[in-house]
Amino acid sequence: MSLDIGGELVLAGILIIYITTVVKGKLKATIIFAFAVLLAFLLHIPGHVLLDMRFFEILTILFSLMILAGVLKRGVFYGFILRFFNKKQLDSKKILIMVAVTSAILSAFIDNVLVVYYFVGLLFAYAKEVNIDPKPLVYTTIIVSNLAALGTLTGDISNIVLGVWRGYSFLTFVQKVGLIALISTIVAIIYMYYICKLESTNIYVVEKDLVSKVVESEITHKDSKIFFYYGIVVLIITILGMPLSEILGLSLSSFLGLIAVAILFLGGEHMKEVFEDIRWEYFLYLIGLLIIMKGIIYSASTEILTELTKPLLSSPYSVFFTSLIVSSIIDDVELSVIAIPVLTQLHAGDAAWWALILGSSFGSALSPLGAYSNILALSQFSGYKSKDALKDFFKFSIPPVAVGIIVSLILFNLGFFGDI
Amino acid sequence: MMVKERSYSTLLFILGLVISYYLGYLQGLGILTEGQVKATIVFAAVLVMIATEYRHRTVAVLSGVVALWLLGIVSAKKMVEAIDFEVIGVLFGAMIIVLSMEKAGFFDVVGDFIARLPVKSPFAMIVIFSVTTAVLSAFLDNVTTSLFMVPIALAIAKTRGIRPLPLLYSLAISANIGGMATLVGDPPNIMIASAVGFSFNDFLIHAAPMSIISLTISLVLTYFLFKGEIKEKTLVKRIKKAEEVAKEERPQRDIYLLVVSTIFFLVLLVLFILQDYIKIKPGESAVIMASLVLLLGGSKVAKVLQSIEWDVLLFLGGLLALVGGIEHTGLLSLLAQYIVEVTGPNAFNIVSLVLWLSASLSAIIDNIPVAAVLIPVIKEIYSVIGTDAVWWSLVAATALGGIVTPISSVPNIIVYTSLRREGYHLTFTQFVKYGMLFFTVNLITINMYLIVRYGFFRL
Repeated sequence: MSLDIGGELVLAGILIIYITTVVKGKLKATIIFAFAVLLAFLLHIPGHVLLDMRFFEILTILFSLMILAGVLKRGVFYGFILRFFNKKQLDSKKILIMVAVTSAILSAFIDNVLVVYYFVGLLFAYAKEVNIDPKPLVYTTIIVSNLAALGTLTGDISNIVLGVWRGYSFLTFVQKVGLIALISTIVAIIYMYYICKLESTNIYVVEKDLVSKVVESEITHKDSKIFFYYGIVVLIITILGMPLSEILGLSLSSFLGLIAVAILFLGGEHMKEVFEDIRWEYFLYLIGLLIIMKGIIYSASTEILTELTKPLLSSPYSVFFTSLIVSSIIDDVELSVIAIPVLTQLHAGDAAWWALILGSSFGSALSPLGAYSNILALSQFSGYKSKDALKDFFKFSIPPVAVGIIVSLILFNLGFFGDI
Repeated sequence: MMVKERSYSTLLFILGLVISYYLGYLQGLGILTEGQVKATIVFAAVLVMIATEYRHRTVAVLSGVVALWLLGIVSAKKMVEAIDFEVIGVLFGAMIIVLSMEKAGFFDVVGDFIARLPVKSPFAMIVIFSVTTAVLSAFLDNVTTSLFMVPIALAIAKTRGIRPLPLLYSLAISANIGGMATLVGDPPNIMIASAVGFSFNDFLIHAAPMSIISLTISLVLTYFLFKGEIKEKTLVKRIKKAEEVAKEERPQRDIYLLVVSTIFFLVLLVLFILQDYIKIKPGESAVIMASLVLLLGGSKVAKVLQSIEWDVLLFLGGLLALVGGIEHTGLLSLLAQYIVEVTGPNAFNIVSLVLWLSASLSAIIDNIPVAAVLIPVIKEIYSVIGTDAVWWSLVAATALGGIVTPISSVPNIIVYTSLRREGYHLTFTQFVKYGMLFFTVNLITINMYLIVRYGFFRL
């Protein structure tokens, strides 16, 4: 087996993806994008191969979700939710549960990276204000978001990439993995409720004014309330519309693109701020990864990679466990762009693809390094990569993920995802 | 204010009705198809939204794309195929390199250099500033150039007792004119180059002379128009040195990034010049050089990503899709045929019409949509008259259109607001008066240049 220049370059790209796992945020996006561009140039990949319709569908879905998340953020949506729970005079434990439920619902429909990104900052402020340990709140949000996101095509970037690539619809996702996502999310919430000790042994009743203070500090715009109601209406339309669009014969990307333009158009001059909130570097990151994926397909490296990974991807079970382990170390979307060419080359059946989707999502929820959003959120704790911090996170993540894995394996065994 | 807005909307509504009625009439005559009528209404609505700033220009364009798709005029696939990634690539790559140079303190270096020049004559200073701005605008983004040159110019005007109006006005004109000179000077140039296949060198040979002529004419006009102001000295403020004032608004210099970005910028220029020999398209060269800057530029490049004007890239992509969709209906081909019918196949008439019409449109609307819609039309016209002059007239027109009003281009906005902030009571009408003078004189000169250069007098 010999490597040609194309194969070597692509493998170097994959190595970069691994190495840059330790680099966070914008710099990572920069490195991946820059490398991908050089790769495309050196491999002479034609423009129409790089930028096909699937590429645009993925970017349109992501753009639309970012616009929606931006409107919710500007409306201090999460802050108002927190204040609403507090008005009900809930104690901190119950607030934790409500936060988990909210994160789960939102993550199922909006990309979980965005939910975690916008919610965690507020939770830190809230925990600081009421003088409690933020870890349970933050861990719960991360784990529940990752698990709930598994259930829909729009819940996670890797789902978007894999779903669009395979041509799976929103409803197919819900039918196939919705139940597993629901069960593991419920288990996660119940588990969190019992193990969380927000304020040592005491149940801490939060004063109403303190939460209001946190929310007020978040309100930077005089029209936050308008954004809030606007965001709620748009969110409901989107949630109802995603499954309906398919019945109406619209593709998900077309429907979401339409929603995004409608949000921007009807929102008038305020939308400039929503535009500013879009995390454009994430587009660069994703574009870079998609280009690397095309590089793998276009060069001889698919065959090399297939040869190298064949033992690990020979059956849906091995795909499931391999993706579970790998995506607990690297971001699941990074795993997806490497796995897609290999599984395509192997002519893998549906079961293997669902195994990849499930395995990579569980991997993201399992480890603090499993997703871009996890790293982003946890980097606010000092020493978040220390041994103790990892142990702490695993204490929260292993039981619910284990339940999800067991349910998945039972369904695989029953042939729910197709022939094994 | 409300009454004014209401009458404005009523006027637009009536205008819309009249246009719709006329389009319906043309459809009844069998001149336009139903799809063409709908496409015209959609495009007109987008242009009105952009011109009146009813919605953010990117939102307006994206709405137009969605409308074309929803009305079943063009498929999404066709519109996506119409996006010219060569154009996006050049703009994106150039943006990254220019922003890296900016973050590294490139303009700070230029400002310091000018401030140290031992020039005493105010007009000489105006010439130095104008030429520097024009040269920078030819290679870098003219918005960035103006943003950095204006505070430096103001600081120097204060410390040397020069009236700021001629200096700053000339700076705005030069920023617009400088953009005409090269392929990367202005987004319409990139679009034209990509559509026609013009190289960087083609621009240097054909467009740069127009830019030099325009700049010379403008400097002469500046001298005669602002003679009194140039000679009149203001109170010299020696509270702070020019360098200090300029530095207050400058980022800290990052020598490493400055060296890296400048080297790759120069390599990019070389690649552009050698384009015909090495067969690498400008878009590819720009994105590759930008990627190298991102890879090797150090930690500060993360800030560059934040400053990229993503909405401009999205606007341009959306606009290309929209115009591609409209082109698909055959509407632009009809328009081209109509122009040729009106003017006859006379190259001189057509080139002059394109020059004056597109310059006037660019004075009212952003020059990017003007170029986007005129490129397919001129392609059709070109197949009839076969002279490149028609393209160079479009290049000149889109640049010169920017000098008319305070809101015709971003450099004008920057200069106009800076002057007013400095307490200079330059009214909108006054600015337009100056602008119209410069616009008319420059267009006449360029028209004459095109006649002489491309030999229309022999026709």
